[in-house]
Amino acid sequence: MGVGASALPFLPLLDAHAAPSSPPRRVVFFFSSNGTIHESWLPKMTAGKLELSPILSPLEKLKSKLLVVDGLSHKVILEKSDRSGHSAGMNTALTGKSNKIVDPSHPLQSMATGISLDQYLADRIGTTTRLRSIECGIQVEPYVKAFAALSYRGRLQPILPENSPYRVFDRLFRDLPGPGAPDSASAHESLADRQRVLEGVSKDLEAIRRRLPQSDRVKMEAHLEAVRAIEHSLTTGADPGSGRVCRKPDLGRPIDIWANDSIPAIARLQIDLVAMALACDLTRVATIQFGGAGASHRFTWLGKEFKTDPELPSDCHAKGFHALAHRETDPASRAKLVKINTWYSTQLAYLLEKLASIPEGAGSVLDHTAVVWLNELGTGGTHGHKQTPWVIAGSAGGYFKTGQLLSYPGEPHNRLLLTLCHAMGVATDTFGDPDYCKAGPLSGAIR
Amino acid sequence: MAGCAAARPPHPHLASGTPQRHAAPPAVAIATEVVVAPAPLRRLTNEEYNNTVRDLLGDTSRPADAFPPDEAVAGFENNTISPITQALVERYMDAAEALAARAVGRLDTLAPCPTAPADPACARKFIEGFGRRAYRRPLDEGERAELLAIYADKAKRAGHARAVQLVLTAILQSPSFLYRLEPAGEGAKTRPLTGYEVATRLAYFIWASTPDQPLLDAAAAGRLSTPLDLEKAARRLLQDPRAVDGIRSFHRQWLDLRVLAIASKTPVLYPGFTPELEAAMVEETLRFAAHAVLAGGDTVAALLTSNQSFVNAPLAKLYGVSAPPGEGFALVDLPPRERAGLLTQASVMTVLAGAEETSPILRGKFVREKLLCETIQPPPASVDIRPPAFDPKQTKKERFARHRSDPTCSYCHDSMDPTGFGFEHYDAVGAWRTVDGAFAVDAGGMISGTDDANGPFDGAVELAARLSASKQVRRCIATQWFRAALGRAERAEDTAPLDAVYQTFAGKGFDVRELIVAIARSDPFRHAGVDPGSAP
Repeated sequence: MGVGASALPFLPLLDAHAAPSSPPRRVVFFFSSNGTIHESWLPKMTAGKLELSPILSPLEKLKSKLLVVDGLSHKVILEKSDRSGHSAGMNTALTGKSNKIVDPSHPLQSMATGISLDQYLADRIGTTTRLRSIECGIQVEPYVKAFAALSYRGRLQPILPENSPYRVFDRLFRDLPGPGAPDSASAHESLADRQRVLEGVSKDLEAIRRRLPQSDRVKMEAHLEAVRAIEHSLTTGADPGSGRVCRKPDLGRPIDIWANDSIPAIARLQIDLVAMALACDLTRVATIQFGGAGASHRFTWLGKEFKTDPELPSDCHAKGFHALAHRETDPASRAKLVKINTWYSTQLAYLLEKLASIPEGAGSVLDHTAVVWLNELGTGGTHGHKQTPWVIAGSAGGYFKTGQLLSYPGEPHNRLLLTLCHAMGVATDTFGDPDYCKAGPLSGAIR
Repeated sequence: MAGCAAARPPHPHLASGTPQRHAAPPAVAIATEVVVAPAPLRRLTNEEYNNTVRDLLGDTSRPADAFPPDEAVAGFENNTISPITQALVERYMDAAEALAARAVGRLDTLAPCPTAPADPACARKFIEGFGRRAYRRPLDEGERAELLAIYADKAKRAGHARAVQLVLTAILQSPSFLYRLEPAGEGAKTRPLTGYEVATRLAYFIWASTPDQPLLDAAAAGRLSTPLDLEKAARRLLQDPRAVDGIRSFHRQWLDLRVLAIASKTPVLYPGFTPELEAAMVEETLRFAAHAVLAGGDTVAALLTSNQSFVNAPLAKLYGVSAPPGEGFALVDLPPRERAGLLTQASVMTVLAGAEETSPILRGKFVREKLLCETIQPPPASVDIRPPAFDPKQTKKERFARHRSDPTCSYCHDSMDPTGFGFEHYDAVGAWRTVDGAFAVDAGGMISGTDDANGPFDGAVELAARLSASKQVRRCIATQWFRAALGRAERAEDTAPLDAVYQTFAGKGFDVRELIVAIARSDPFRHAGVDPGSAP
């Protein structure tokens, strides 16, 4: 079947052209917060076969493509960070490095001290596409970056995800060069204007960089890097490859992206956009964040019992999902948390089915991708940094041995991050804090 | 320094062990070698960007409202930590293109040249003049040449107007426009800021906007170098209507009012909490603050104890007073036994509450952090932060009893909860109440651990009077303005200048305008400091 089976109509757009020799590898990070309910999440291996848990049950059809990894800890927090909790989990989840409080008057405002895996990989597998990476959010409250940012360009360089699918659409498809682009004189002129202005901006940045103290130079360097990336995107179009169908998604009627009840609709749009970005080879690295760390969304679409929060003093700041997570020992809240995490599984299943429906080479886009579902915590109620739930879907071109559960009790999650580097063809012995990489990649995960 | 033993104890927000300097003699007295803490590199905040393009181009479209929110440090927005991201650079590009396209519609005022053919001499005049306003300093030769080249090339193909538009697009994306640059000089020593750098600090401090032509002219003429120069310039800026923007901006940030925009209240309990009411709450407080500051006299007393405020019809209903005539806001008397200044205003009480109920913890924390300049640490990792079960048969104080009885909790919570309980007469949207559920409101509170405001009190009106009389509070307000002015938290090097600023503030009867002038005159405001080892 083709992408026509998707929920959205598509506008016909781009012609297919020559295929690259072998399909590229890609990685998608799929984030949900507040930990999980471990016993309802943990699948079993029965007679060598994966037997899914209640939370993972929506992935039943895709279970041969799953690698479930249990037991990993954010050891870098447990051993080296002076702060634990949602923000610390967020800071370290994809960086594998300790964090730093950047505003002493706001002790929750901590930031990661290293590049996140998505950005690290983007610098290695994403340099030829229009966007090196794309970061999509579903109602990620942006005010405190410690909670909002999963991705980091480098030490203390958080990247806020884009909460608007309309803006994501623009970043991916606006003024797209190549087949289908308007071939008018004015389009050429405005492209030339932009290039000329950015060239001037680059010169200014270079000149100023030289005059600044070392500590501030990084800011001009980051700005310059962003300008170069925009220049690159202006002239880099889509590449539908062989057999993939690359079409601009139709976003339908505008929705209020900050209305709580819009969450399912926003999720669908962001997932459709990421799937199409991969199909069009506009990027090879994507993140989809369902909220920030400690998200407080209310899952009203799952039943009316979600309309009110558990009885919890409002002083705990906790609302919605976050409040439920802090009530994990209460059976009613626990049941709701299972429902919420099961809903995330349905969202992941939608993304995976979508990628599996885009043919590529001998298989599908999913076969050449690793989709990684991660969380900032293991358990929400106690801010547990142990036993964090990880699910990898897709074999990254046959690298992963899927269809199994692996357990690494107490091992640092850096080892999984390192394994993903190798899966993407990046040979390195460490990722993040090298102290937690000594045992190497997760050997059982590899075919 | 043992000699400091007689001085007041160090503020809790200063690192322990920080030597307390002797208080500097007030007023001028410039030491032979000035050492100030370095100011961070700031990028324009969204509010500053909006005000700046308004003042440069007459464009009131507020393009920065579409940018991601600003990053705050020490409570004030400055964008000093994270470097820019690609997504934001793209937004700057979009905004610059749109602003330039609109501005070129007013070409006759912007760059009055014959519209065709291209006129390089006239373009040069525009680039130098507008460039100086936008970069807040004269362009250097390289910058001038680059912009002229952009102009000339575009003018050849598309004429004068399009070329001016493209030059504008470039200027509005330049780092010299977007950042407040104060590059270090030779060597790793504190240096006096240039006149242009001082002009920039002063304008963004007092107006939350870009310097005007006279301020840049004063910079060019070397009339922004002495404390007296700064005093004169600051007094002129305070006379300008734009000072209202600056005063409002300070209070919006100090009081965390941006939280209101994302606050939600349970509709069943607070059906009146509409976006209109929420906007009115913010407007009330900002009008009130600007009025208090510009009225002169003891601003601190006015801010903390006045029972007058600005209300419109929906707010009048919330406060239980009769609505002012007409649509707008008017200064009215509020019930004096219920209301006293900022602490009891609907905006602040709404920010410091949950969706359903009040938050004594947040309210107590607010007093500690915003009025006493302390920092409350989050619970340590080892603490089980799962709250106790909710029991409707318990009063609020009973429900939080563990914060009193368990020493792990009380270590911090004793400084917050007992003070916060004093605000129990104000519900989660700041309306006055005498009952909470099944119980009569108990607003008996206690404040402890302060220099000079300790003791029990009954209700926030009494607390506000106590805080207003506290030297620690008054000094903290001076510190907050200092943080806003410098874009950073105060450091050990700031102790003497801050003491001097406070002495002036006190000596002038706590008129905040005099505080602003005193900060503008201070060494940290007029100098660029250098961190050891970070010189180029």
